[in-house]
Amino acid sequence: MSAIAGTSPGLMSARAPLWRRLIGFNLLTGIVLGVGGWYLGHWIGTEIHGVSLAYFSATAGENDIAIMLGYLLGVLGFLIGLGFAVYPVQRVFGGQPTLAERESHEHGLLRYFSLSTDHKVVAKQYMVGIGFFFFIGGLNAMAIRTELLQPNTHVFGANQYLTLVGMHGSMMMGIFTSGVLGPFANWLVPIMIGSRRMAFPRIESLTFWLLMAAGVVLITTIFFGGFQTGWTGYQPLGDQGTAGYDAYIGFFALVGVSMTLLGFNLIVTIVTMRAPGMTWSRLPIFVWSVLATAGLMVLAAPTLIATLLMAAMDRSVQTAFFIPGQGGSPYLFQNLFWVFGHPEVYVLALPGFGIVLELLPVFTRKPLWGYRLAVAGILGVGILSFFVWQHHLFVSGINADLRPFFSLSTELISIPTGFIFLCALGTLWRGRIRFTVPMLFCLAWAFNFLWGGVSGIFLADVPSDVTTHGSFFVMAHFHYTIMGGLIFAFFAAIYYWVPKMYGYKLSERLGKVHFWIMFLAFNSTFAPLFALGFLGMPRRVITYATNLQGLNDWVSASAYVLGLSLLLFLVNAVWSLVFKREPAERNPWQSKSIEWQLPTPVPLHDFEQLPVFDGDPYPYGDGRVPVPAVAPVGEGG
Amino acid sequence: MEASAPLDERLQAEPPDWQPHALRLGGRLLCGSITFFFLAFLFAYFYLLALNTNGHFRIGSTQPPVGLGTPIAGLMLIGAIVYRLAARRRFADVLGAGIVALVCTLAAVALQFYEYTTLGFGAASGGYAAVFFGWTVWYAVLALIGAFWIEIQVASLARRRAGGSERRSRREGVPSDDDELLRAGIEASSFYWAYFAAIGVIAFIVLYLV
Amino acid sequence: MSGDGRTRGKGARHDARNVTLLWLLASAIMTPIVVFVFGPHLPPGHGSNEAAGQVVDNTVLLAAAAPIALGVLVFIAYSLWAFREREPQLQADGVPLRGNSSVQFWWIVATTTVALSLSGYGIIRLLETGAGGGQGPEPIAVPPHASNALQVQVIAQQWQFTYRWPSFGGVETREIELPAHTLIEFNVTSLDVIHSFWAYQLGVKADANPGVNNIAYVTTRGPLAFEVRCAELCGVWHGYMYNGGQVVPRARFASWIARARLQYAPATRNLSPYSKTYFPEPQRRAG
Repeated sequence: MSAIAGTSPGLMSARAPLWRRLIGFNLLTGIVLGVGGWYLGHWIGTEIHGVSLAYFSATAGENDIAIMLGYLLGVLGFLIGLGFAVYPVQRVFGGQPTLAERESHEHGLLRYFSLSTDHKVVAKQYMVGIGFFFFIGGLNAMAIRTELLQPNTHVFGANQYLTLVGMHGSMMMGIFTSGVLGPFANWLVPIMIGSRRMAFPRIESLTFWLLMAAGVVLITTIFFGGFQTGWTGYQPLGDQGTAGYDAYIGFFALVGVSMTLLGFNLIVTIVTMRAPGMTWSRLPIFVWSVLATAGLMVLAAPTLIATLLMAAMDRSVQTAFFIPGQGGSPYLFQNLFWVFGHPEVYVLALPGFGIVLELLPVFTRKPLWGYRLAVAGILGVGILSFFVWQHHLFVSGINADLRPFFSLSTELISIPTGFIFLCALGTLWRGRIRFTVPMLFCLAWAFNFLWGGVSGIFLADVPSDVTTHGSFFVMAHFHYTIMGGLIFAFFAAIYYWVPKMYGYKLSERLGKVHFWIMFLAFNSTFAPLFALGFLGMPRRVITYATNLQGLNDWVSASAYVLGLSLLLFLVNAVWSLVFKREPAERNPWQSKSIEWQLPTPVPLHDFEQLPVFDGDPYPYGDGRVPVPAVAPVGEGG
Repeated sequence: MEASAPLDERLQAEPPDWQPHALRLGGRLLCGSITFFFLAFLFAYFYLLALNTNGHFRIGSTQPPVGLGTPIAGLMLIGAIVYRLAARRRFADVLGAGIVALVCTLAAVALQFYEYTTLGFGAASGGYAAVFFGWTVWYAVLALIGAFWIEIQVASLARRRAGGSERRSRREGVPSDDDELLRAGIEASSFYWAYFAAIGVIAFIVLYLV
Repeated sequence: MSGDGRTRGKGARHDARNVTLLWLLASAIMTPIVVFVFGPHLPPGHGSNEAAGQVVDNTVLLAAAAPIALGVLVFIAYSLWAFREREPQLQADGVPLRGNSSVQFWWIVATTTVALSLSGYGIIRLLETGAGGGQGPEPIAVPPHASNALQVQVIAQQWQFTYRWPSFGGVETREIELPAHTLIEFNVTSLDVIHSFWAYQLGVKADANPGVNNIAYVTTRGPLAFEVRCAELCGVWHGYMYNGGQVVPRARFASWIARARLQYAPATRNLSPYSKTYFPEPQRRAG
């Protein structure tokens, strides 16, 4: 927990002039050192390139080593500028371990532009940071749909189009993997388990800034010719690519490190920092889903990092991991990538499950039905996710003996997923359902994920996969599960928790308009994609059969409306949180979860007295007082 | 909102066993992460060997010298064993053991880079060469990074021996028992280091002996 | 406790009965519609035995999915109507149900049975003839009389498909015609990056991996025109990597291939010898 009301010397009081406060370790310094680091790394790489001709040959004026070193030193400079090196250097010289950081004295916006060890600040940093990159990814999607309005008239060049496709996928899959854990797990998990902090608060902040650096690195791909592989980065296509592919490697490697550290921190926190009485069987279901997700992140992401390093070596020092003529194999990349890639998509799905199961009790006024079954479902999905990856490779020519196993394992993963649905349905049963905006999004999750899951049954069946693999059917499947599932759950979480996190209400009426437009536009956009896949349209194409133009135009029009609904949300968020600022009540949803028993805004230290948990996490319908018992803090909470 | 006492005295301190426990668990989780990292290379080795695409798993002679590989892996192993054994006994031994581990690591890395200059094959010599360079280079990089963790324990021990630890106030939000934290840090880092050295031994077996 | 009439007892049995009946009714209506109205039009059509097999498989899956999806939808819709909050001013809670071992048990049994059955069905169908999918260099799902199959090598490169005919002197053509009512063995490979040979109406999809021979079987039926598209992102012109092909009567095929042989003879002399895989100089970035 960060230093409280102390008198540590050398800290700026809030009355120092702005320019003075800007000097020091913060984002501005980080950017300056980051840019400097880029030039330094690039220069070093250029020097190396000239020296060791035996390994490197100079062609096309592009020097991958310079670019990768530039990114590496740039990111290091960025982190140093933010102040991440201060504590490690202190420790290297024998300094004592401490959690004290200086931000306890920052009360304004500057907190959000620096290294913060307050988990609530980091959560809000994530919220805005991820929101920004989600917006960029969404713009990419609008551009893609604009291109696909006509099969033979092109708005973008072929390379530009593929870069848009790759950036859209990478933004969403890379940045949004922390979409729920970043803002919501960081904010809620310590409070829900009765702690004031995460186990390693500086690492928590590091994961955020790494992710922001990653997003910037990805955007720089446009200066280096873009990349033509889509978010999956397949080799050996990637080996051919221009230097923009190095940006992709840098992006995903940074995302991998961020994911590993985020998962690591969350697991350690949940396992070691539960307050007295918070036994495993009392853990809120959201925290279970975070735990499972963190487990996937901490194990799967390192494989991704290793794979990308192999690709980087292929490109820079001419190794042959993935080059068949030289003894490598494209299958190696495909297998290694999907060993990461499949758990990755469950990193996206599991937090959605957790959010929905956490919110349904509040809006049905009943306990979560089948708590143990839900936990089994979440853990089952997490574990099984490591054993299904070759279903992405059914027709690729891998060893045919393996396909029955992976078809079976993929089919089996639908069983624990079904547990989640059963628990959701059971929670609805004989409840008193309140149709608030968060509840609407939860219900939409159930509807959308149902279609996503059912379409997965087709893809798990190898003969059916022969029909649909590599087509828009797959696109529809994963947009229904990830966007229809996770993003809708994400908005449920936003409308639900923002009043507590920010202390201001979001407009309920605008929220309902946002919901209905988004829900209808989403289905209108992605349902036809099943048909397009069935009709033979492959993925990632810039042109298509002319008889499919009608459907594509319908999809593009719906996508614009979907984009507009998200803009509407942005308007609601900005208007409510920045301009109108109507204070929210302490517990507008009458939730019995602990975070709602705290005052709004939640103080820096979260709890004065650490809570003692002694009851069911969902005590609805029992007529009991909210648990856990929390000592009164301040204003009569 | 009136407070009768300053906030940092009203706040209930967190249980002092939290952070040491976190360190110990963290060390083990890190082992899980690097397992999956190096599994990628292990998988690459056997997969490329099995496929032998274009007959180019090995192009030309690609046998690295066992005479160099043995000390590289051996040094890492010795350093880790010494450090781990000391960690389970007394503080007094750990300082020296930590220094031994650090020296062994640096020597191993130096030997590894020396080996690169004397190898008879390059990175482009087929699938085996790719795995060899990939595995050893990133192992060396992670060894250097991990050495910082050991160095921090050594430096903390040295400072403790020189000046003694002070009890820090609750306001800094960590358990006041410095020794508990240090003990946990040593335990976690020595466990991780032993695991890391074991991976080095596996790499040696696969890359040099198989 | 809740203040509405739906406490334990008659109210609960009413709801459970209603939901079950509604579900059965919906399933009874929708499943036949799905099977008999949509079924025959499911992709990829009946242009080959494997394609027709996929249509059957897709229909079976759709028929299994329909009641499952309907079950969830009917339950949710019913609950939203029956259990909506009618008296918000009461601020009352719902019935504190925490689970039901019997329901959970039967759910687990039912879902496991469905999952295993569908999986078993799919594997059995796969192992019959391979369902038109690429099986790698050592296929295990081999149709009968495969040794008499007509071998066609599909060579994918950036950004076109070409076809080589080992039993016709190794001639390479840019168009593809296939004889009707014949077992074809596609040997799909690539010269550079990963592509995917997707012959839609034939129900064939096999990735083209460089350095790998990916075998897919198809038994053609009557004459038809089919579309070939690349189904794996392979670079900037991936979207334009398509061509058309035809299944024609055997006699016409024989004359076509003989003409092609003659026409391309000079080119064939200069081609590298026919092989299951090729290793041209890789297009690599250098540095």
